[in-house]
Amino acid sequence: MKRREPNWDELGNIAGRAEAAQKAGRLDYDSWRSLVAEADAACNGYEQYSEFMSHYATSEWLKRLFSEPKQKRTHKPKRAA
Amino acid sequence: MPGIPKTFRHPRGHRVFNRALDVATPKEKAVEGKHFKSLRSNLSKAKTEAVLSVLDGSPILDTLAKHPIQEIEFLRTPERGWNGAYDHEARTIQINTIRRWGNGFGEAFVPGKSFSIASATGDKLESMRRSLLQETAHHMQEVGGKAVSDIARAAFNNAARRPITRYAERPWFEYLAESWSACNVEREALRSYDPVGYKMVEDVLAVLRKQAK
Repeated sequence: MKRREPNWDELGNIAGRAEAAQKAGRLDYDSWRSLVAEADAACNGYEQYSEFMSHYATSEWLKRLFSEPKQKRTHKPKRAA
Repeated sequence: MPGIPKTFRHPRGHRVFNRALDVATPKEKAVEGKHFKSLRSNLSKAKTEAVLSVLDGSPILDTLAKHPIQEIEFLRTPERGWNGAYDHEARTIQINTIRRWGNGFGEAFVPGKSFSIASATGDKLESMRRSLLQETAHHMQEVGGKAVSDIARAAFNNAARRPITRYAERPWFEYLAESWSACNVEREALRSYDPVGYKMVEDVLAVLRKQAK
């Protein structure tokens, strides 16, 4: 079965929102982290494509992010009826 | 180099690149303490050197000598599957040494279709080398300041641009980073597929060379 690609449009959209928030001085750790979570979801399993979010981060935010334990996957494949 | 032919005719008839040129023009090496302040690695010495050698002979070595990367770290980050990260405040680079076939490397290179330059190789170390190029581009963008970001943003806003990979599509700094990586490993493909990106990289290098003087 072919895997779904990352949602490139959504990733671009998230980058635009991060850039706008940073420009407006509204980007703090929590808002940045929630955008990272959105980007992670839009990656559809290709986790590396949310790494553009490091551009908007401070050193401290990156340290906090990297010290988080890996989240368990919640997705379970559906069984055939 | 005058006097030394770039290619010569093999006895079997085909033309062969003259390897003597490699000897005649040794590449400047990227050196710890000069181009990057410190190095930490969970790879063997040989593998670490193999990855770092992607910077050898690079046109940005003068820039790196003036504005060194503070630290290059090769490490495993199982909790976060990023291939690499550049810390703009600390000017440090982290390269994740975990690569999974089909998710990080192992793709064929098809301009405009491959996910990223780092993923478009079947070799783990080569993928790390490409990630290092990618993150180095963010360092160039950081130290190059407004002059570099203006060039990259203008190219990004050019309707004629054709991003070399899907990851290069957006945002503007990944367009620069992916184009720079492609310029190092798939130069002819970048030049023919995305002349806008190719020119952007050349213009950025010209600015960096000027700044490094």
